[in-house]
Amino acid sequence: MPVAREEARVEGIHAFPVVKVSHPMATANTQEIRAQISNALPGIIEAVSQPLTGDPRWGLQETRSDEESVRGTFEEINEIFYQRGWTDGLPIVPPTDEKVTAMLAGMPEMVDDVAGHMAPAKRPVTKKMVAVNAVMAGCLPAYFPVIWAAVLALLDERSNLFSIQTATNATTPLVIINGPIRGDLDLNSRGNLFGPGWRANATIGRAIRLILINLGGGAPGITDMSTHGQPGKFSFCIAEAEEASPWGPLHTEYGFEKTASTVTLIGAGAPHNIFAYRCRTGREILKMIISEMSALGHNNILFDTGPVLVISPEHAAVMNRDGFTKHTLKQYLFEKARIPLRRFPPGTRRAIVERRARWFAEVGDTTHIGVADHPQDFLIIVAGGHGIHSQFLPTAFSRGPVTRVI
Amino acid sequence: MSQLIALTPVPRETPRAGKLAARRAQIRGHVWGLVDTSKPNADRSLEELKRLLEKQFQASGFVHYRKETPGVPLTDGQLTRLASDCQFVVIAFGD
Repeated sequence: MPVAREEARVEGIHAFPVVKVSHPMATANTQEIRAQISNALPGIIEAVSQPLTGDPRWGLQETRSDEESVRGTFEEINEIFYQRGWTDGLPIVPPTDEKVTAMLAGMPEMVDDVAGHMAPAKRPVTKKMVAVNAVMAGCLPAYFPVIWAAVLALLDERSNLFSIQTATNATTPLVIINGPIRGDLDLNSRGNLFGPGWRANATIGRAIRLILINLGGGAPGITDMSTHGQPGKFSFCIAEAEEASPWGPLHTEYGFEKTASTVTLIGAGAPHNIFAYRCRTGREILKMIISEMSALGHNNILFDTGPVLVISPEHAAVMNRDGFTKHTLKQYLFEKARIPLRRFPPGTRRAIVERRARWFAEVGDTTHIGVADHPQDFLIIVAGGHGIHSQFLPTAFSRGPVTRVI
Repeated sequence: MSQLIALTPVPRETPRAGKLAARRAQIRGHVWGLVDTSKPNADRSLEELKRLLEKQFQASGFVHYRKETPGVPLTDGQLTRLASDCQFVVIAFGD
């Protein structure tokens, strides 16, 4: 309902009739569906035939403000921002004019120009508004070019941000940084890279999330309808450990020079840990990875967006030693990470056939479903600390990764 | 305690003036558009709605579209046909 309200508001409609059809919907049986539709029909008929009168039955929850600024102490500003739904629940750095100006010091041109409108609320995106949110997140001004490049990637229609922002799914944009800027900003690509401890990772990822809330209007529990959410909805920013990789870095696969710095975004779920205990060969490690990717309920069964693999340097070294290049690794995963359709419940099987039509048309394996439609759809980076763990992140909604130069 | 002035993080927008389509007092005998988003059970819900509209409101016809996946928009051609041929459109559904 809040998503519908927001969509209508974008079109300038602030009141409209509402007919509620209660959950469950996806799991309702025939009898329940009949009852729901029968109960809803009088409301539908009234909605399309009776003039809308007076008091709208659903008012909009106003998170926007006509004020350009708020005055108060640190604590008062934090309380106001929290009460208005402008934070992620954690304290923020008050975005004073002085701090916002400092944030923009490296990119001071055209700070009020609109670069696009962010879904679902389609609010205008300017450097200045991005900088306000970056200050709130605790970013240093040196981080701003990374954030701005990431925002431009979010505005790219291939990101399919509307779906990411409003879905019941737990997907959120994962930010992957490549190139020399990783060292310049002390971005973590090694141990605990999905965890705490590095200001650049933590605050750049947080800035993106605040931007999604405040510029995109992805308000948790209001328009962001995720059933569970995930920890990455606080911050989800990593770098590739290019120096520890036996293979080329991610951005060179997309045509960028190794010396370029880039940011790559894709809608991703929380990492699944792959504990390849006592695996000693590349094929043994891959058996564990493929096993993890062959579970029935992850997003890349139904979404053809291609999984993300974050392979630890130790795992990558073993695979490389045993003859795998990144190219042959992707080919191997494409061939092996397939799940027999007979393992799925009948309804899911029908949904797979419908939603993964490209797989059946192009790959032609009619008895299995793969986790990607093409070998090149696997997004593989090398990152992490010492140890025999790698990570699998199912993806969803994005029409492939979107990479922007910083 | 020192006073700060913090900029608001949500942009001001120019209000747009949209309006709802005109209501139709007469419901019987019209063409209905039924758009299935391909969400689970959307097809069965629309099937039931169609049955009731035919039985109770003598719907004269239906234009039916099913999206391949919920996230893709209807095509311009589909929207044009819904706008030109239908007096009412029901989309089922969001979850």
